[in-house]
Parts: sequence; structure tokens; C-alpha cells
Amino acid sequence: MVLPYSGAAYNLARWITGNDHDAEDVMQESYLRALRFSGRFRGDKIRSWLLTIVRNTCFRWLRQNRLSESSTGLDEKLAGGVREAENPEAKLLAAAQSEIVRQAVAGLSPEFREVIILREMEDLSYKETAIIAAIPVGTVMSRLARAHSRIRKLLSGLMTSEVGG
Amino acid sequence: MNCREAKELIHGFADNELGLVLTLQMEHHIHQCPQCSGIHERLRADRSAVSDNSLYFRPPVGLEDLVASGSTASEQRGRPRMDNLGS
Repeated sequence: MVLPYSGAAYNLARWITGNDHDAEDVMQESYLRALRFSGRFRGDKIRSWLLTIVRNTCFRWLRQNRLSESSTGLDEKLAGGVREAENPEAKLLAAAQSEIVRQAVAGLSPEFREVIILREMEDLSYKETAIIAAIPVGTVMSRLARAHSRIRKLLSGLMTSEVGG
Repeated sequence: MNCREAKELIHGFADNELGLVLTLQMEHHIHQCPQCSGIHERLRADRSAVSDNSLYFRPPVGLEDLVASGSTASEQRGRPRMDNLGS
């Protein structure tokens, strides 16, 4: 059985809810809602429409299950900083860097996390991201810039500490 | 185009969100300006790091069938169903 855009839907749900079990439940609920409301769909961008449903389901889930989610939680002990994985040691460091980026993204608040996922991982335009997240395009841009700034700051700090010993 | 104007547009440029004319103007400026070129390279590296495939969560095997079956993942695990999300 192949569900349309299940990869994108699951990735978004998993990043926003933060765990597999709840992401699976959000997926279930989202596709049920999509089926229920499919008659209302007008347009040709099914992926954006479906991701809007997933996103809204995720945030309903967050409101019901977490009154506030911390934007902290970055682990500063991990180190990385090598982009080219030309040898086993470099591969390990590259994997460590991926893990740092993963933790940095996970440490963002859900509102910032969703624009990173939609824009950078799903390669949606500013406009599509704005429609799905129900925010102005300018807010998409400012959230992306702030999210990247946080990730960059974390990575550069870790690379400095690695060089320093 | 000067650096102040370029810095206002550089995120959109890195994201390929500018129109043709602004894109060409930005390309010209970045080619001439080491400082803005450095910022642009850094932004591209940021985006590359986040769009790394290893950060993409893949749906677990069997989830699509489970969703299609209409029974919830929670029910399959014996957990209480996540109710009222659809209300």
C-alpha cells in the first residue's frame, strides 16, 4: 500500500512531535482527516494541502499534550565539524556533525522547527511554507534566519571547542 | 547594488526565491564583493547541513498499511487512542 506523500508527512510529524509513536498517531489522524475533507480540496498542490493537515494535526496534538515546549535542550558536548568524509575518522566526525544539527533542529521551538522542515527538507517555497504554517512570508524568512543563526552558533562553538582540545 | 541592499536580499538569494533581475544583480554583486560572497557561502553551508538526508525521518515499515487499514498505531500498540484530534 502506498500512501501519497507519506514520507514528507511522516518526516514533518516526527520532527514536530519528537517521537515515533506520536508521529504515527498523527499520521493516522491526518490521513483520516484528508480522506474526510478531500471533497473540499481545490487546486493542484496536494502535497501542500496534505502537509497543512499534518501540520495542523501536529499542533493540535502539541496543544493537548504539551502546554509549552522548551526551545532548549541542545547538547553541547557533541563535537564535529568535518564536511568531507574521506576517511573513517572523518566519517565519524561528519556523523557527529549531523547529530549536532539534528539536536539543534530538535532544540528549536515547534514554530521554528516547522519552517526549517518545510523549507529545507521538503524544499517548499517561502510562499508554500507560509500557507502551510499560516504565517506571513516575512515571518517565514525571519524564522529561517533565526533558526539558521542558532544552528550556526552551536556548530561554530563546538568546532572551536574541538580545536581547543 | 551595494552591500546594504545585498544583505537584505541574501537569504532570498540563497534560497532561490528572488526574481530573475534581482538574482542577476545579486550574482554580480557577490562576484565582486568578498564579504557578501563569504556570507552567501555560509548560508549555503547552513542549508546544506540541515537538508542532509540523514536528518530525514522515514516512515517505519508497515505504517502505510496500518494507516490505510483505519486502525490507529496506538491501538496496535495497545495504548489509548489519541482522541479528539479531529474535533
